[in-house]
Amino acid sequence: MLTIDVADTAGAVSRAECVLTEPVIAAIAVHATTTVAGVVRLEPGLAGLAGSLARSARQRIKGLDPAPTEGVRVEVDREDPAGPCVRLEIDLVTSAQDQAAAVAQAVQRAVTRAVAGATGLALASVSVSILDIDPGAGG
Amino acid sequence: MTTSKAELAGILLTVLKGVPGLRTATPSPAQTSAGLPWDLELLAVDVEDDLVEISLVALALPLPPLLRRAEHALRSALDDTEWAPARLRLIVTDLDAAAFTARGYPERFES
Repeated sequence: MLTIDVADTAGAVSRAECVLTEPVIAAIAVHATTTVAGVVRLEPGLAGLAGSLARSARQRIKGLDPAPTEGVRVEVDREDPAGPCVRLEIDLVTSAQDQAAAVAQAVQRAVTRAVAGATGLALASVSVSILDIDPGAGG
Repeated sequence: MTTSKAELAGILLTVLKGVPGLRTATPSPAQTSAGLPWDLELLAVDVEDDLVEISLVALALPLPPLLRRAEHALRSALDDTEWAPARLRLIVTDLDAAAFTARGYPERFES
């Protein structure tokens, strides 16, 4: 879990502690990744799938539709003297019509912007692993 | 005026229903007891003597203005009770898919 600063630009001090859990950050990152041209899909892995099934079931009880988080791992390093560092690892499949390195860089930029815009958090790093290239998918 | 913890939880839930873009979160099974009736809404609010903690799902982005609105509304409700000096902790446990289709959220993030 991560505490975020919600103070407004007028300088009003927040008297509440506002905390985000890792799935919130992962969901924003997944959405931003899927908007990048050349990304075919994210690869969740078995651990990601199991975790998301339990999470989905809980929220569907209340009629909510949880945003997907599969394919993004969120690590929070609390040992950093400058404060908690958030690192993201993203596993994805790209299209054969796009240059893999360029797609990965675009994903890093898009995710960094999306997380900062939606939460105010500055990410320490975004690592992109291209697990496969889909020859059949268009860019 | 004396307010019980259960009454306060109910008041805070009512206040939250007036804050668009936020819903109370369903707690994980580990947080619930099998022998208790499952009022899922109430389980999202934890009232201690010096801390009021509320678990939330966000249905809109960005989160800072949303949480500021919730804080303002909840703090106003707390100020009328003996929990006025208590700390307020808002935990966003999940994000609903509707947050990305809400008006104003960018469709792309590339430059």
